[in-house]
Amino acid sequence: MDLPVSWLREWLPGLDMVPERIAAQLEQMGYELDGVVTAEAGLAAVQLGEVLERHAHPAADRLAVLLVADGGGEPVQVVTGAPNGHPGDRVWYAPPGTTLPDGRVLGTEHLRGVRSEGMLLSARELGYVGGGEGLWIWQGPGKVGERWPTVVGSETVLQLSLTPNLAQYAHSVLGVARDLAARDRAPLPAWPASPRLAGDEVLVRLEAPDLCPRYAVALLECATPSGTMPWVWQRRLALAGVRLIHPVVDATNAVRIDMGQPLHAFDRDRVRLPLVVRRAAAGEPLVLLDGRTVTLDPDDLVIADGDGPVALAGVMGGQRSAVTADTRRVLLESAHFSRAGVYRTARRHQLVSDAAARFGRGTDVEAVLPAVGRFVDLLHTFGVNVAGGAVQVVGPVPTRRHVLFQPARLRIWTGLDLDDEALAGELDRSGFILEAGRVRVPSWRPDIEGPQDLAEEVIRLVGMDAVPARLPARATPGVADPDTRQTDQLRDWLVAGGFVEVVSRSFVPSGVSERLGLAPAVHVVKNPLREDEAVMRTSVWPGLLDAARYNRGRGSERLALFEVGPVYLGTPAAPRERVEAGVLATLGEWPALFGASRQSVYDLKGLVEELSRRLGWRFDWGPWTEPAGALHPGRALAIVRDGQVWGALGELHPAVLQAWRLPRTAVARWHVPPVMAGQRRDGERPVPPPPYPAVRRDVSLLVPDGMPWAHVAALLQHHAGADVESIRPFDRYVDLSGTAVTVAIRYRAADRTLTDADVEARQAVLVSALAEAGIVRR
Amino acid sequence: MGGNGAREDWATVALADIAAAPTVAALEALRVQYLGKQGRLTGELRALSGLPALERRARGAMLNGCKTDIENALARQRELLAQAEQSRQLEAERLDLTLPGVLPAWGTLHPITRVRRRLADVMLRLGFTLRTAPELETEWYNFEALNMPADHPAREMHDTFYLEAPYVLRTHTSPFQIRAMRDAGGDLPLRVATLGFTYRRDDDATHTPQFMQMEGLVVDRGIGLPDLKGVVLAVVRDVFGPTERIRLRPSFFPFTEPSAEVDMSCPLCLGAGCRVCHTGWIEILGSGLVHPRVLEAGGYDPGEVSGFAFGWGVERVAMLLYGLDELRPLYQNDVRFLQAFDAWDSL
Repeated sequence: MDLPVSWLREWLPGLDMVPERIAAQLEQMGYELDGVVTAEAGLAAVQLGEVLERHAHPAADRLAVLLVADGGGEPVQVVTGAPNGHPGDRVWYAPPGTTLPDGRVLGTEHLRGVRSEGMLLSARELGYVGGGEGLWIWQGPGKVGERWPTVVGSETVLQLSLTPNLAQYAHSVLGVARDLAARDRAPLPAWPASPRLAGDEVLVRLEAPDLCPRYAVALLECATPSGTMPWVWQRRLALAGVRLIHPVVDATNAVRIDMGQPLHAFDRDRVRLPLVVRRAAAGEPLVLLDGRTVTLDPDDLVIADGDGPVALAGVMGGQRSAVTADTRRVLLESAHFSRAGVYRTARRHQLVSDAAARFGRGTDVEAVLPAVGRFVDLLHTFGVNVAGGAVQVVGPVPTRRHVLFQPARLRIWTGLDLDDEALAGELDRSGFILEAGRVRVPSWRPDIEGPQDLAEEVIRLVGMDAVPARLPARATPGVADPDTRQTDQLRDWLVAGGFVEVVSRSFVPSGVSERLGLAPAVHVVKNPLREDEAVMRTSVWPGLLDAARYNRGRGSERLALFEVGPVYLGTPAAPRERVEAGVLATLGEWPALFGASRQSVYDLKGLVEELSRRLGWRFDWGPWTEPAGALHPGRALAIVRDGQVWGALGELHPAVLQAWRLPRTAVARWHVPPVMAGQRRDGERPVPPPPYPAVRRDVSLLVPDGMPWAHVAALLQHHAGADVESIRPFDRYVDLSGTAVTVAIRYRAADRTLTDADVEARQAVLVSALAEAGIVRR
Repeated sequence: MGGNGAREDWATVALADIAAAPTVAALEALRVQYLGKQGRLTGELRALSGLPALERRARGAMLNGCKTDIENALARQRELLAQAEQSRQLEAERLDLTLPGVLPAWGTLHPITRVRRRLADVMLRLGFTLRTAPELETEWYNFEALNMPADHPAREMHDTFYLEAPYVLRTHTSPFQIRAMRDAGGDLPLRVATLGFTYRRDDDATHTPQFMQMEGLVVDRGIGLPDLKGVVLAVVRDVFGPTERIRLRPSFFPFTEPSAEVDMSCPLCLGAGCRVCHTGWIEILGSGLVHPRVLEAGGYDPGEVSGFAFGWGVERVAMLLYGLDELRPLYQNDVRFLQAFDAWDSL
């Protein structure tokens, strides 16, 4: 809301504050301040001049050369195309450097060979209407040489943003004025006088009091406009965003901004009285002011005359009854429409209007009649006299609501050290009257619902700075969230393992999950911002792949990334969120100063195994059986836990590598098993190692073609005695005779030192058992 | 010199040769030459048996003296040669340590994780129990239970992503208030906090459609704005330093009444006014006393208890903490950017 400060002073003539101070006070009351700007800043140098001489332009018939006294020394010479401006006329002179309201910046020019310094202005060039054609011959006050802001007065605009609660009662000049007066401990502004009710003819009948509790109508005989709107008002309305149309329409707009009460003017001679305020008939058509035709619903409220609807109540008038330039008899509506009703109707027909916005936030039922009085006053100010007429109102003024006054709770909530009387006194400033343990709520405060709203009102008046700070009295032990604790430990180990954490969006393009062989997307965003953010992810892989592509594209050769975050599963009717961990590493060898460094899919496998061991997840490996998807079919494994697939590991499929422009890359993902509060990890119990030395024997085995290591390992495990501590392959060699694997076997007894003979005996058993399976010593 | 009598010439020569032996091999040859089975000294000793007893004793003593001298000389020369050998070897092993070090393959945490942990840590220390809540939330939890019925204009403040009804992507962490209160079953005092992703249809330099919020909630008898002010001040000072100041301004949220916007003194210019804050103050979070209808939805009697809640954007904290102008880089996942945070983290 752009609020000219001079307009505020209409309601608060005694307001003794500079605009910056007003702004600071309003901020303390919850208004968001977007700016305090001086209006017409570009016109600061414009000054009143007097034409001394007027000569024909030597080279152009339509131009004239004027000598103008500007209050300084030498008169200035200005070329003008205007037909007026004769010696003795006072005109507005804009020197070079002036910025006009339309954005033009003036300079010194040569027009057909004659020097012209700056410009003499028309009213329109100053941003005003009226003042006749050509130059604005000034009849107002001021001396030659005086500047525009000095003569017409400067104007400052407060640019305010209103939160929804303020929008309910402070979206008007009067509303802000009331807040400011209360804060300033000044009397609240007085209502304008209501018009005297008069007239015998029945002007209106109210048939839907639930949607319109009160409706006033005034029949006004307007004289022909006797002049133009005062420039101060022109400027106020322009700054408030109103385009001048017709004095009657301008006055309705002015009252809406001024008092927050939307008005509507009908042309009396284009309606058949009486008006009826009623629900629309289903399917009834109405042609609106903007030319659109709406088909009405029985839940819509209309104003109708003898020939059908003439307005969609509170939203927009109809074309048939609209005020025109020729209108002389005006039928003015000032009504209190149900806020929810207007909101529903505007939404149903997708109509946007200032009135609908205002009614949709709630208006003051007691303002209905005073607004008519204000309209008549403003219309007069705008140059139209009202000769006479009739005023009628239907529907009662409801009694004001009450809210319990609970001073002890107000003290607890606000922390303010104010006694009962002081609290009541604060509320009184805003118009809340204490009556027998309750406060009567002013009619203009639809936002007040309960005692807690009174606490806010007191705080708005006293100021948040008066609230002391303390910590809550009763202490509690804080308890960490076990799942977050586990995932944070997982993150720490991944970081220790050399992986960089990424955080990607939960949205992914539709189709990507399916393309990568992931769980199909379940949750579709109905109104995504972009097509590639259309569904909720079912895995962190798409984000990791995108992050890898992004970094590869910026020159990072070797990448090791991870993400731990929520994925969105279940069904649309029963969503289930789980935490997934994903890792990605580009593979290959990177030459280095001291030998190459290398990353293979086995590094990722070892990482997952070690994380599983440390976090007690007891992950197992299983065959990856999904034929299509992200992984290279010959280089993929399932991560298994308790017989169920918990994730996958492998190298990316060449098609995926190509699509994401990646080199050979390995990935893994797994669901992070949830943990319960206080639960210990399901890992292995630490025991002190035995004191006896280990004995290592290396044996080189020729493994038949196609036999996987897991098979060899199982045989070794099966035939190894109790004293075998570990079996690790450490060399693998393929030649014409087959695949040779060298295995390091460590023996260690828990209760004694093994002798060479012990070890040789065990080794012999193992080797002969392997031989039976076709695995011979090389 | 041990033994009796003058040293014979061969022994003198032997000692001189040993002292001059240039290599371990030469030294070994000398040992064999004198002390070996066929060695000179061995021969001399063997020849003793043919001598008369008196002469044998005297000569025997002299030869044993020679033997000790030769053995000592061998040992000394062996030691000298070993030292020289080691010096040569060390010299040969000299490295050019002006070559660059090999960097450890350490990873790094995302700044959002860093700030999340920082905030979780201070909330824990202030006695808040941390919990999680769903991001795919029903409209009831996200709006209705928080005093935003279907036609409420405040619902328009939340530009919502809709899923299959009744689900939405939560527009704030506040639904957690209802869940925490209901789980507490009326117990007092209740002091809980959550950190998690929230979603709004907003995308510009200072808004992303997905962002993380931290929210705290306290419910007890006698809770008021001073408790809110004290806790928020403690959190702000813990994260940004003990000289930070805060300022509350009345504001509006449907689920709090009274509501307050909290500004903190700008940590970049220390409240003097700068390019970022203009006024010395920075708007940081929304807060207020829990609305009676929200307490009711959570199963508490607003006539008996009161509470406060506050919600803070984690990205906003990150921007202030790390001096970032824009939100977007936080979600671009550029590793060069992410790896810069270790050296620029707060302690």
